[in-house]
Amino acid sequence: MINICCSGNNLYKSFNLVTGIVPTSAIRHVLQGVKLEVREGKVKLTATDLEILVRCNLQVNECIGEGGVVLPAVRLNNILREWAGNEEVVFSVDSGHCVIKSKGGNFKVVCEDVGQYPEVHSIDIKGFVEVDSGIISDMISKVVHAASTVKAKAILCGVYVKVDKEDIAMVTSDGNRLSYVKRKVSNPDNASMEGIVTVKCLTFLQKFVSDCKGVIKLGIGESQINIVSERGEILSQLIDGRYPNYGDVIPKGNDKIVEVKKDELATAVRMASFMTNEGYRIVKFVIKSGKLQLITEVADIGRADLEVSVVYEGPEFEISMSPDYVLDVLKTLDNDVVIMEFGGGEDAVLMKAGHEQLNVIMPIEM
Amino acid sequence: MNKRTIMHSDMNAFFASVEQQINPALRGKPIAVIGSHERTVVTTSSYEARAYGVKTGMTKYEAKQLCPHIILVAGNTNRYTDTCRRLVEIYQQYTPIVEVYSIDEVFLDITGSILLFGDAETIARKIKQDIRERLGRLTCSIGIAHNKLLAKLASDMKKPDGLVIINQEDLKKLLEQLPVKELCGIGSRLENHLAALGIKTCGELGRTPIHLLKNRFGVIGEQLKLMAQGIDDSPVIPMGQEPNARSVGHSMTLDKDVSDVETLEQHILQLSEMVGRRLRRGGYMGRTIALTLRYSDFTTFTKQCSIGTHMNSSLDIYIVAKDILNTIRLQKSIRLVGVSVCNLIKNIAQIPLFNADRSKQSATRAMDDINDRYGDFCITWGALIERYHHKGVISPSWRPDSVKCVNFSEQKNKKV
Repeated sequence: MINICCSGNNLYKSFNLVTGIVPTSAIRHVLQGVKLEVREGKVKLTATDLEILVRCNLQVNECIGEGGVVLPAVRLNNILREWAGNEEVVFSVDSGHCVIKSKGGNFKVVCEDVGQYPEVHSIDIKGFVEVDSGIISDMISKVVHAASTVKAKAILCGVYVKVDKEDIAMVTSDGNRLSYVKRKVSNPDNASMEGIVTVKCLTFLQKFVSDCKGVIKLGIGESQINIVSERGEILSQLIDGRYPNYGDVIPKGNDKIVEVKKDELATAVRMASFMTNEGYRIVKFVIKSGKLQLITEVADIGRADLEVSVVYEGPEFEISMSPDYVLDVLKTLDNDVVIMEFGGGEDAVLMKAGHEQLNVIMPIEM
Repeated sequence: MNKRTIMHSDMNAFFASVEQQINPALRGKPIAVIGSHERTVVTTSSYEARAYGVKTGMTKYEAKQLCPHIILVAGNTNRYTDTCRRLVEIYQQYTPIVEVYSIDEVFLDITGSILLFGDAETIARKIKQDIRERLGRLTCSIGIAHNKLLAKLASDMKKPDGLVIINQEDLKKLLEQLPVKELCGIGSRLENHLAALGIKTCGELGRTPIHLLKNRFGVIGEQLKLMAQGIDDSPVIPMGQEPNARSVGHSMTLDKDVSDVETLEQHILQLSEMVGRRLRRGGYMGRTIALTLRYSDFTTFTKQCSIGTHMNSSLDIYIVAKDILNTIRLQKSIRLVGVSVCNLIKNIAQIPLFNADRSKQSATRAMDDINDRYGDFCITWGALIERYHHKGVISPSWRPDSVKCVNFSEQKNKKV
């Protein structure tokens, strides 16, 4: 018998968070539940889809008894959403069911046996680095757009994370573009670690740390990544495989350097894309001394011809790119000015703005 | 539009005639062209076999029952596609406006050719002569009229080796007693629906009030009335100017019902390669992949999956289709498998970032070139080598040099 009393808001926030990992369909029915566990006066909520496991500490006002139960995730989340404003929600867990009481009524919910819930442990994490949760969250935002969604390119469907000395780098690529960002970490053990982390894990991490600022510990093993914070922990399987050598595709000798205001470029590219359609998403960039001309033309839609002031002195040249790729990059850049480095019309374009952050976009052959 | 002169040419018993032309021992004998697998059907029979009642779509057992001494010939795709290409070359000598309607049927707009080559009948006779001179025993039935509908009707009126001209002044008399099913586009179901309204002939259909037809058949009601009056303004669409395809797909009935997932995956790989090739040849990419399965009891269902990017690589299509298969709990053994790709866009030449992808692209291009030159599946995935003795028959939707240009299909199932 377990009795827990906590605020409706706390309970809903934590329960709703872990429910985000619960699979919508699962061969084992128990996986569609959230495990509630009480040990030594501490309450933990756990959910897993067998690839990612999240364990969230629940702050309670009062807790009596020890043990666990698996609660039906979606149904209970719906109840708790309605009671999120209530000062107090009381859980009473007995064999096979749980009674939830709050102002206005109670629910008796059939639960599953906690013994059926799979145990997932970290198996090969050898060391941790410490980094501010805000920094990690920002890094993820800067690269996640470029990850592939095509399962045939499984390795590219993840984010390559590499810790080397005091640096942590994240890289994504869908095979046509690449995003890279590097930041500092505290690495007292001088641990080196790397792995391809699923996008789902990292976007969940962003939610996980959104309400709880502070330092998180991050460790990567052969097959798992483990992230620990005050709020709880995330344990996720890594994508198996070897990430392509991204250093080789970052252009080094691009000699046509163009400086342009980020907002002006974003507006112009967005407007140029109005004259494209799903089947023909191409913007032609014509770069002349002091100005950038953006041209789109689709036979059954029309033509756009826009101009942006740039800092550039050199020969005129043109290159065609997907407007979506360019806009995705511009959304992630911190600085007001973007530096675009071009080679030839069929060479990779390098876009830089902000500290230790770069993006590579491959052009479209015309 | 009224001054147009349209010609429809329909090759007589095309596949069978090609086989008889190549193998003199088959000439004058009842033959049927079939696929090589167990559950194949007759795709074409010679006129000698037709005399016994053998028809397209019959199983080989049904054909044998009707004509015990019939000679069954496994279809050879390359022969037919090659002959079709040579025929198109002949047609194109007389007009550039040639629409390949199917592997053995074309429409020609010869309006502008009459001044150069003589009247329509002279052009038709020249075409027949050219075919005889260059392709031997092959014959065609030609229909000439002022639109496609009537040209096709005319070519169907006299077979084999016919030449029929429908003149404007004879039209009313011709259509008055003509059964509606004779018009291209009116099948047996539509014929039954019309019969339920008391309409059996084109004359009756042409006189039926438009509101009655619109109420019963919706937007096509008006079209039906026009057809019955012999009116059709549709243009002859030359090759390369066909409207964009909406989907590209293939399906195959399996030799025997299969419940083994590994075997199904092999079939899916083969279909993905066929679909991928067609996409690449037509210059398309798609982002929704659909897998169709038919159980042994003929229950058929399709599951599809949309991905974030457009693709035309056979392997990428295969992986998505295989993922779809993995989400299905098979309840019975499988009789038919189909793979299709929709949400198509024209292929844009996005340059890949990684060298490995560029090499993969080059390898795919090389594979396609080799298969174009030496025959389908001449070079293919290792997993398919074992099963590629299993050649099928050509899809009726085959077209030279277009997205419909497919040299391999095991059944008459088609989509594009």
